[in-house]
Order: sequence, then structure tokens, then C-alpha cells
Amino acid sequence: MVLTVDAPPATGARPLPPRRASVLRRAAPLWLGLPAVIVVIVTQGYPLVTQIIMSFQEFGLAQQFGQPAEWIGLDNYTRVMTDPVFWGVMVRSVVFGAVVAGLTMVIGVLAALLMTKLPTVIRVALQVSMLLAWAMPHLSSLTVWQWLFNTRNGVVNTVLVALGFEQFRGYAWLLDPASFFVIAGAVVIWGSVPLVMFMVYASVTQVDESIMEAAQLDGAGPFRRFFSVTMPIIAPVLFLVGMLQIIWDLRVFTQISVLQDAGGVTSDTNVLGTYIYQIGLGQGDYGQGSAIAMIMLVLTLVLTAGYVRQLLKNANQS
Amino acid sequence: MNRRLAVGTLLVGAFALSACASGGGQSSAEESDPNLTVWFMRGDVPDAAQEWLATEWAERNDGAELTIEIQDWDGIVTKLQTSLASESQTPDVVEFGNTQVRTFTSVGALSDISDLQEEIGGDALIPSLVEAGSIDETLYAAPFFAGSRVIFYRESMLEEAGIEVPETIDELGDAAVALKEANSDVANFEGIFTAAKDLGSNLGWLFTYGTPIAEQDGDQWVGTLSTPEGIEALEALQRIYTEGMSTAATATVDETRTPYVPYNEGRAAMFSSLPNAWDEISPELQEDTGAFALPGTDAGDIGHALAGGSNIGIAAASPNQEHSRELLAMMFEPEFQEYFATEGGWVPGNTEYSVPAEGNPAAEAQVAAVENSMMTPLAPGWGVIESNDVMRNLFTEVAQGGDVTALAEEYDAIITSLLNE
Amino acid sequence: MTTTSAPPKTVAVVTRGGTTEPRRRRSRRSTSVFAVIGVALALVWVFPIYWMLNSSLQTDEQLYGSGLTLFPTDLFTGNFERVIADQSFWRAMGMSATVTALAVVVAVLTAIAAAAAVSRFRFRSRGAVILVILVIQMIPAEAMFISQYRMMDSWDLINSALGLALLYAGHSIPITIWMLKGFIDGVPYELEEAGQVDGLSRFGAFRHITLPLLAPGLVASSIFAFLSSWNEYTLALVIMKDNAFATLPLWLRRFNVSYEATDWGGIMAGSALIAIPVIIVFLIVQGRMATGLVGGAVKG
Repeated sequence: MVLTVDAPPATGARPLPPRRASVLRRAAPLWLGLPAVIVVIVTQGYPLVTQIIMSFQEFGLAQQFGQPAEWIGLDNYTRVMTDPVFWGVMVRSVVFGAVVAGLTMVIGVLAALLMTKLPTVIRVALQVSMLLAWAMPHLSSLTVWQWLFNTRNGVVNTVLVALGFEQFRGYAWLLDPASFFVIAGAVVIWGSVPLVMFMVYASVTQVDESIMEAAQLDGAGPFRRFFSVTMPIIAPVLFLVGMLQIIWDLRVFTQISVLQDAGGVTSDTNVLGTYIYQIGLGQGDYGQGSAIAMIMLVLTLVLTAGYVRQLLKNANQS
Repeated sequence: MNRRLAVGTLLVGAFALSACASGGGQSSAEESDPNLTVWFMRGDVPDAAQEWLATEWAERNDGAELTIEIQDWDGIVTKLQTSLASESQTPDVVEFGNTQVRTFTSVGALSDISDLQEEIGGDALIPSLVEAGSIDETLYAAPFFAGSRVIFYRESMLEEAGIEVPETIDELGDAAVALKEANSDVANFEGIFTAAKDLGSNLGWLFTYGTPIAEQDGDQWVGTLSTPEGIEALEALQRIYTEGMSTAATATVDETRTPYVPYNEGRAAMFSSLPNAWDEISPELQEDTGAFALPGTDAGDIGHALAGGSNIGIAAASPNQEHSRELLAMMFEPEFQEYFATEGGWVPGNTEYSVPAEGNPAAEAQVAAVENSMMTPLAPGWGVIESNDVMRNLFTEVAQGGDVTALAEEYDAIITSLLNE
Repeated sequence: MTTTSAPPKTVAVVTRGGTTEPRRRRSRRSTSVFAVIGVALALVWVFPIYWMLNSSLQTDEQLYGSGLTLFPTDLFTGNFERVIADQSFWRAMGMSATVTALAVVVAVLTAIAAAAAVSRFRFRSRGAVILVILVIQMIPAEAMFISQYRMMDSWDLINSALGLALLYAGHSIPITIWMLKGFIDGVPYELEEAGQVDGLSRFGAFRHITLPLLAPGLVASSIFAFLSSWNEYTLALVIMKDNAFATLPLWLRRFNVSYEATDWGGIMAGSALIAIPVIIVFLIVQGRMATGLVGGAVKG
């Protein structure tokens, strides 16, 4: 999959490519993108369309088992939008997503930059431990996190008590929504920093050493070098990963859901992902679940509008 | 060619294709096929029973194959929501946990089997599970098997304390307090081990004193903990927790799953558990051990323990309705049903076939307990209460000595709001 | 931090060999500070994994007991033996490997082509394509299972490794395209143009000049595609309906039985074993990545 570069073939006699682009070449991007587009459209696009349709229907378990679905226009949407519970969930999701995505990015980028300064052994050790964290099945990683914060014999409480913080003896982390989200945040960050780190590190290693050295000879300090040399090159990756984090953290589901089962109070800790699941698959109201999913989609688009606009602008320029 | 048009055509084509494809597959009104698929939940149907079923089915149907798939509890509701709706993928006969079956009976996922009800047991079917599997007198999922908590007790300890085997639930509380007092020299002694986190045991007190936890009032669900019956039940529990027990508030969920541990250590005189705990009681104590069903409020009555168990039904989407009915009826023949008792330690769905497992005094007690068992409210939102640990939190606060009346009102409000969300 | 080094060379030298290794001398103190931070970070990230291993080597009594076992002093191997002797574990391992390999190959191959198109060509609907890819990422997956299931069912792709792999590929393709686009954008197009001047075709220039420079990005995005397929649970739950087709995340759930205490020892041992192939794959691509880096001629 990864190829080493060989010197370009020495058939230097080939004529320069013609100035006039052939029809085939003009169509090249279409053909290149086609396989990916087909797979994505079929596996994601089609279900998305059915979901949009569902969001305008009375579609529950009865419809799933054969009853005809009734068109109800915007009813699902108005029901959701007029429900104060939904707005609480949404605010909670946005705050949680922003904080967690921000922390993940900061830690991930710093870890990636740190990696470039590490001796090989430690660097590989760090990479492997990050990879393991990423690779651990969710069922077991979440269980382990629960054990670590277990009220009675969790490592965290034990250590805190040993350090003299008596108030943590028998402290129930998951019962209080505030500390529930501290743990949920820790679990999510722990799980998503590896991707950020690997991506940013991969991108940083693309930065040409010689440019770096030139900048250094010009007297640029480490910070200037980072912002004027490294930054522009890793910017696309940084933007992308940052946006993915925002998107993913807004729709976080598994971690919250498992922690809720372990002892959180659902009504105080629901985020958009678990709320959709609860309404959709949990209560069997797919129509309303789909409507919430659509609202969430719009919300995500609004929150990332600046970045999207930038992207489209770049797309049209370059 | 206009590129945008090309992409557009492609998209439309893809959708059209999918639409066509999903429109197909409905015209398969074939004959019922004896090669059936059954879904059982992991850990429920004893191996011997599965073997009997498969062999017997093949014999009666010219070698037809019965495929038994064991399903995991995690994610089963999601899986059922998709598979049961698909004619080509649905299993023919399916087991449901008794708290999950309501999700599927009310939406047309299961076939009406009311006309089989007499043949498979009629009045001998476990009433609480008949209710769980029925909508308006129509039976969609038959009681498969059930289990309920019973009370194990140490005969010699009761004798030494001069106590008779309790005949009412009040006497049970008295006995617990008296036993704890009589053994006050033993550290952490439990008159009866039924810790606050043991939901399956404690709900029996609420049901027996007469509160169903929540009741439907019009289209609203209302908590009933602060009714006189509810208060009485919580007060009785509080007395047991504080005067008849040592670790009622602090025992963890894992510890409540091994209630025989303090009993084997000699620091519990009684404990509440499913009958299969018998096998965990140390052999030298077994001779000294008796068991009885949770008693009712009046002498001679049996209390209402929580019903655990499963229902079994036929997928409405299955093209093999006739054979599925035949198979379901076969599962209510004595050979199969008795395996639940002899191998599984359960009460069979048809209680006539409950043959007590050998030597286990709890097996017989369980039959009476199951016949009188009750389920948590059949409200759509009950799962939210469970996942929020509402009832466990209530029992824990009661065990910590909280004011029962205030707690009952507080938790009624929580239950009412969660059930009507 | 001071460094002395050779004077900069011209940027775009597309030849192999002959480049001088810049020698770096960092102050020892900052290096060791970084090393300490690096080790600390690795420890924080590896601790939950250590705890998983620790738990997998304990007996039920230790796991359910009230004490805290910090080190697996007894090295109880019963949990591992149980898992290894379990045929269904190996079957699930095979199924997971098949599905994941298919998904990664489909996702990465199609994504490279698409990323090259988006990054290197200018065409009118490019903005639209970018937007679509982005929007698809934003849909919460929890809402789509039902329609995805119906679609696969109508195509007879239930219990099919290929069907599940396609869904996984469809899920990771947009992100993979994005990642690779970012990396391709990071390689100056002038390099490819130089290659074309040297007589390479446009495709040849991409393959021989840009692709090798993408090695780290390819590795990162393949790992992403690999892991998101390897650990996925809910789609596998509904698509791989029969036990014979269960993937590892499904297999792991069998330790959770309704009327008995959950077998955490088994779950933790299974999880540890599930992570092993991931490490092997990583070590292989890690080696490749190093080769790619050395081969990339722009690097000093």
C-alpha cells in the first residue's frame, strides 16, 4: 500500500504533455472519484434519504412491522422543537462537545509535536500505547474506566483518599451530573487523542526539514517557526481533524450510554446521541428520532459554517 | 456531457435501484416450510431440552432441520427490531425476556396464538407472564418459563432463637430482627440478607403489601409509593434494613448477586435468592437449610415476588406459520417443559409440569412464588426507571434511615415524571 | 534549544541518495524533559490497558471481592485458556479479519483516487462534492441502522462479510478522503509538475512523487479505517444476524448472561486477545511508514 519512491524512470525522451487537455483528462476527476462516490452514496446516501422521508412521517415500530406510514408534515419537528427537554439536551451537547473537542485538539497536537522531539524508543512506546488505547474494544475500555472510578474500590477514589482527600471516600462519580461529565469527557478524550496525534504527527513529518532549517538560520524562534512554517503545512489536516472532533463529540453516543447504564441519571446526562437513540430505537419512534437527527445535522452545519465556507472558498480558488 | 447532470443521473439511478430492490421480496407466499429457525436467549433453555427439541422435530417432520440460534442479551431489542420485520431474515419462533416482550406484542410483530392457549396449558400457564405476552385478552407470546426469589433459612438458627417459620410478611420482618438480636455476638450478622441494591428481592415487599409502584390513570402513569400500602411496605423494609441487617445500605450490586456468601460464612440466618443458589450453599449447611416462598400479608397466603422469565412467540413475518405453531406447541409438551425444572431450576411456563429438582427445598417454594408473582409496571418508560437505578436509589436511602414518607413522595414524583416523559 | 546544521538545500530535489543527514545536537536538558513528558503521557494512556490485562489475570474471587488487586500476582490464566479453547472466538476472529481487510482495501483504494481528484483537479462540482462528503459525516449513525438494514436485506447481503465491509467502507471513505486530501494538499504540486517536466505522465508523477510522500498519511488513515471496522458493534449486530457470522465485538458480548454475574474475567481476556492483531498490523505498517519516510526524497 505504501510505496518507496524510486528515481523517476529514465525515459526522458517522452514529449511534454500537450497543453490542450484531452476530453478524457478533463473527465479524470469524475472517474477517479466515482468508485468512492458510488460506495458512499449507496451505503450512506440512500439511508440518509429514507431517514429524511421518515422524519416527515409517523413512523414507529408498528410501521416497521408493516403498517403504512402516514405523512404528518412538520409534526415531528414541532414536537421536538417545543420540548424543553430537547433544548436542555442540545445545550448540554454543544458545551460538552466544544470543551471535549478543544481539549482533545490541544492535547493531541502537543503530543504530536512532542513526538518529533522524542528518542525513537520512547516515541514508539508512546505510539503503541496510544494505538492500544484506540484499539481497545469499547465494551472493555468503558468497563475499565468504570472500575477505575468505582465508588467502593475504584483506583481513583483509593488514590485520592490515600493522598488525604477524605471527601472522596465512597464518592459516587456517576451520580452527580457534573462529575459524570468529567469522567465521560476523560473517556472520550482518552479515546480520541490517538487519532489527532497520529494524524498531526504524520502531517508534521511532511514538513520539509530544509525549510525549517532555513527559517532557523533566519533567526526564527521555535514559536515563530511553528506558526510560520509548520502551521501552514499542517493546517489542512489540523482543520480537518478539528472539525471531525467537533462533529464526533457533538454526536457522542457509546461512552455516554454505557456510563448512564453504569449509574448516571439519564435525564440529567442525555446528550444528542443518546437522546436520538432513546427516542428512536429505545421508544421505537423512528420518525421523531429522524427529525432530531436532521435538526442535529443542521446544528452541526451551523456550528461549522465558518470552516465549511473556508473550505468551499479554497475549493473554488486552488 | 454535462458533468453535473451525469452525477445527478447516477444518484437518481442508485436510489431507483435501491427502491426497486426493496420493493421486491414480498411476493413469496410459499408453502410453510418445516425447516425452522428458533431464537433462544443465552443461558435460558437447557442443552438437554434443545437437543430433545431438535431431534424430536426431525423425527416428526421427515428429517426437517431445526436451527437453534442462541442470542446475546446485549443489543437484543435492536436486533429484534430489524430482523423480525424482514420476511427473509426473521426467525420463526422467538424467545423474549418478559420485560421486553411488550415492545413487540403491541406493534404486530407477533402472530396471534390465542387459539393455542388451551392446548398448551390454559389456566396452568403462569398468569403474570400471560399478562406480559397479551394485549386485550389476545395472546401473542406464551409464558415460556419463570423464576422468582424465595427465602432460604437456617433451621437450627431459627430453633435456637425460638422462632417458627414465618407465615406472614410481617412475621418475616419480626424473625429477621429477632435473629439478628439472637446473634449479636457475630460481626456483621444478617437476620435476612436482602440488601437495598437487590432489586429482585425488595420489589417483592412492595408488591406484597399492595403497591404496584405505578398505576395508569387515563393516559398518565402515576407513582403509588406514597399510598398507605406503599408507606407500609417501605417501613417494613426499613425495619429489616436497620434492625434485621448489618450491610443493607452498603452491600454492592455484585454482592447482592452472591447472597449465599454471608450465609455460607455463618453470618446470615436467611437470604432471598433464586432457587438455583441451592447449589452454591456449602454441602454441610444444606441439611440445615429450608426454604419458603415470600409470605403474604395474611397467614397462609403467598406474597407477590417479582416475576423473572421469558415468553415465546411466533414472528408474524415468518412464512412458515403452520409449522411454527406446531413447534411452539411441542415446546409445551411435558418432556420439554420439565427440562426447565430439572435442568434449569426454573418454573416451566405450564406450571403443571413443574417437577421439583431433586433435594432442593426451594424448587417447590418457587412454584408457589411464581404463580403469585408480579411484574414491574408495563409502562413504556419503565426501562428509563431501571436504567436510572431509581428503585435501587430509593431502597438505599430507606436503608440509610431516611424519612419514609418524604422519600415515598419524592420518588413518586420522579417515577411519575420519568414514566410520562 | 539550539541546533547547528548544514545550510539548506533547494527544496525540490527529487532524487534518491546523496542527501546529507543533518546532524542535530539538542541540549540534553530539554531532551530529557521531553522524554519525561513523553513517558508520562504514554503511562496515562496505557494505564486502562494495563488494568484490562491485570483484571484478565485474576480469578473471579479477586474480581468480585471487595479488595483492590493492583498487580496480578497469581497470574491466573484460566480466563485466557477459556477464550483460546473457544472455537467461536477463532471463527469470530476470522470473520472480523475478513470484513476489516475488505473494508480497509475498498476504503483506502477508492479514497486515494477520490482525494487525488479533489486535491489535484479543478472542476466545477468540486465544492458540492466536498460539501456532500462533509454532510454525510455529520449524520448520527444511531438513526441510520434501520434503513441500512432494510437496504442490505433487500440486496441479500445479510450475514455477508462483503455487505458489512461495504457499509464500513462507506462509513470511513469520507473521512479517509478528507485525511488524504489534507496530506496531498501538503505536497506542493510543483513537485509533480517537475516530474511531469522530467517526462512522467500526470498519473506517473502522482504515483512516483506524491504517493510516497503520503506514506504517513496513508498509514494514519488506514489505521483509522481498520479500527473503526474492527471495533464496530451495532451494524454488525443487525447485519451479521447468525452466530456463525459474528464478528469479535459481537462475540465479546456472550459473557454477559442475564441471570448470572457477568464474566468480566472472560471479557477482559478476550479484549486483550482482540487487541493483538491490531498491534501486529500496526508494527507492520509502522515499518512501512519508516521506509516511506526514508524513501521520500524531500526529507533530509
